[in-house]
Amino acid sequence: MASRSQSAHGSTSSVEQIKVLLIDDEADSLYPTLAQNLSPLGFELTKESDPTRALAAIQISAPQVILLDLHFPGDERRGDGRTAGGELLATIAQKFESTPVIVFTTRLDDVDIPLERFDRQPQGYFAKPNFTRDFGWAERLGQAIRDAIDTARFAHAPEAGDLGFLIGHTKEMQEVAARVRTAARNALTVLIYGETGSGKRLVAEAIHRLSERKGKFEHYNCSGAHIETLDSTLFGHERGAFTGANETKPGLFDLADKGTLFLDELQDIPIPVQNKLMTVVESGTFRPMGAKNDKKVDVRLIVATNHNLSDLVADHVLREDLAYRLGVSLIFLPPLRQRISDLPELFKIFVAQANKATRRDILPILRPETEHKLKKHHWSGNIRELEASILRAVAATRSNVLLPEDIEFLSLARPRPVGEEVIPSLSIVPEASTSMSVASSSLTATLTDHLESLDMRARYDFLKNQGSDLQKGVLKELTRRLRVRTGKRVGHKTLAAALDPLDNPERDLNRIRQFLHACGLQLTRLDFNQ
Amino acid sequence: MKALFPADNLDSCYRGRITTLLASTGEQDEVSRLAIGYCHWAGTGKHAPWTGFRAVLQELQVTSAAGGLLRPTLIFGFHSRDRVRGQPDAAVLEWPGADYLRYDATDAELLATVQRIIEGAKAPMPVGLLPTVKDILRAASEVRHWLENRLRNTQGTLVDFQNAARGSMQLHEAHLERTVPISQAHRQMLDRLWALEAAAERFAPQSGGFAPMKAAIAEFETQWHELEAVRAQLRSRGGTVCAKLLGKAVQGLECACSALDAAIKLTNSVGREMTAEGGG
Repeated sequence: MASRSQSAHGSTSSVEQIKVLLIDDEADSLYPTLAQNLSPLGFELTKESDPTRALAAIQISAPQVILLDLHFPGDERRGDGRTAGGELLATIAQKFESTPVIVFTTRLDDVDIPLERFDRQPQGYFAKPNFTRDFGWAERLGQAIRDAIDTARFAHAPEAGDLGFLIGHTKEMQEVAARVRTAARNALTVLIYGETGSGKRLVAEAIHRLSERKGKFEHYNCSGAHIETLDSTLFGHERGAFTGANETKPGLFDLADKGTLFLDELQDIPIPVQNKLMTVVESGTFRPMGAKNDKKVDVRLIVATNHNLSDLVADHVLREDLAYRLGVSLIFLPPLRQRISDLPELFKIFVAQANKATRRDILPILRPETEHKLKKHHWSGNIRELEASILRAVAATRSNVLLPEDIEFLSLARPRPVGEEVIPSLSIVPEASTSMSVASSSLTATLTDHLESLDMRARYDFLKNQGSDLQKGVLKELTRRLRVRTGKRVGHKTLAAALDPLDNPERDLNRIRQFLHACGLQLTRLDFNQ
Repeated sequence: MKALFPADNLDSCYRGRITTLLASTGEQDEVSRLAIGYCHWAGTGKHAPWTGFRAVLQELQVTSAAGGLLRPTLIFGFHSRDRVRGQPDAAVLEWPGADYLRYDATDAELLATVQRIIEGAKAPMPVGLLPTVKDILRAASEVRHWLENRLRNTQGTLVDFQNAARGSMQLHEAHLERTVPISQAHRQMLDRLWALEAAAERFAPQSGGFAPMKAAIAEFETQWHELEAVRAQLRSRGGTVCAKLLGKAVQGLECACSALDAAIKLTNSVGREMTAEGGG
């Protein structure tokens, strides 16, 4: 006789239990052991052994997860390969769409059944345990149930909202969102401050998108650009303005007319270009190289830096009046470590992205142990580093969820010591207490340490495979540090040529050492993080 | 269209018509032997294309394998006879005791067809329609799957009772509830297999067909009933732990596991012999 739906009341826990319905032709004999072992873990189990009564049982018990056997007596008579459990799965999908189903089976070949056979992809498979041999099965089943709930909840990965991927519920990110929306309502110049990888460009894009300016969004990274190149790029030139100027070329200010121009790495804009920039900011006019007349444009300017404005002014890197002009509207993007509670949400978005990029189907489930590992990390590379770490983990994992061992961090940076956080400041007067003292920085990590690690080759390959962004980011940062420490400007190409190819770790290490020596550095104690 | 199993209303309708028609020829006694099937409806009430033919064939195979008297069978559906004849699932129509008619068949067609299948049912099933080794193995496989599941679950219960007997675990109340040894659905599944017993003996004579397997399953039932008696005593104590009774329960579960294990091995043994002998 088939059993009626029945509830376990074995647990006295006051914590709300997760309701699980077991649908299995042998539910009566399976139920006691499952209830015995799952109740203490926070699960309230009900059962139904008759597939024809399963839908009623679901309505009555309103489970959060269904454990469903695929095979019921009589399936073999059908001769078409379909099973009562498979049909039930499809019906559940129609009538109880939000209830996740775990196929609970003893047949290994069930996992090979084409999913279209079910009309619905179950949230997971769990092999019925061998109770005499499988230790820890209850914990694993419990985890699978929780994973199924998470998967169902996040069946549709969070979509980027009107602020793009600038998501987060922390006070800091709510402040960013509010400032972005405010900035979008006016046409004032915006200065975005944030560490490398914190999403400055995303903020700029969001402001442009929300502002409904009809023109284009143009973006330029001013890092390492020569004066002439930058002048021409920003303001354009007339034919014959300089050798090689064979034709008139519009600048970014032309292209972004009635739109937005975002200039990243403000500190790398040479003073002469800053002078022209100042004019544009003040009057909306500029004169292209070789032109006889000024041009007037309507461009919303957004700039970004990760340097303290006070220091830039004090070091004569940034014109003081321009600093005031640019800092009319300030948005501070907090580093990831200051909004670490947003990590789970970001994790799910980046897993979904990585799935698309790698054509994998890793569940966007953040297990507690994985979350612990991720939250412990310092995230000097911020969102970009998180995104890359997740992409790498998704590409490499052999599990269907990311486990702690899947997450590997690149040792490109070390945490800033407490007290050395760079706080954005609009105070132009240099303050001794906030200025960075590069010379006195302790050099704790060495380039040698980084490159001599066993996975050096793989790491560099990874950088190359990331496309230009991360590689450029590393090169740019190294260039900047070399310049700060040696006073020498080393171009990216030169630096990249020195670093690539890294075919022979020992030989290349020597080559890099020689290269850095030529830059005037104490080679064995180069701190990547300062 | 709302799916309803048509048997309840159609059966009475067609039987009434057939009774009236046969009464006119003095053959109305034959109506009780007549089986009626429906093209897309299995006997279980499930609607799927051509299921009715498969269900009718399986029923006839079981009857034939058991040496029973084959019932003349009439199958109704919406399709033309030509279309139905082309379906592989409609192989049962090769037997003259079975035929197909559209739902809108006239009285004349109905009478002629019924008379024909009553006569045709006297013929034995064609060899091609008799249960094959493959059919038996498929039915045995389902039973073995159930036995393995039941053994696994019973072992789980055994582990819990052993822990309780050692005092390292308090039994969940579900462990004390009555559980039938074989559910109705599983008993029907077993009956379908036992119906193929004659064929199984023919294909697996050394293993003795299904007889040893039936005995092992009967032993399992016996052991389970004894276990239920112990469980009833445990229940009557209102949750008070009794080491002696728990020990008895462990013993009962061990015996049930042994019987199930034996049944699985015997099923495998029959299957191996059939595969070697019959080919399928």
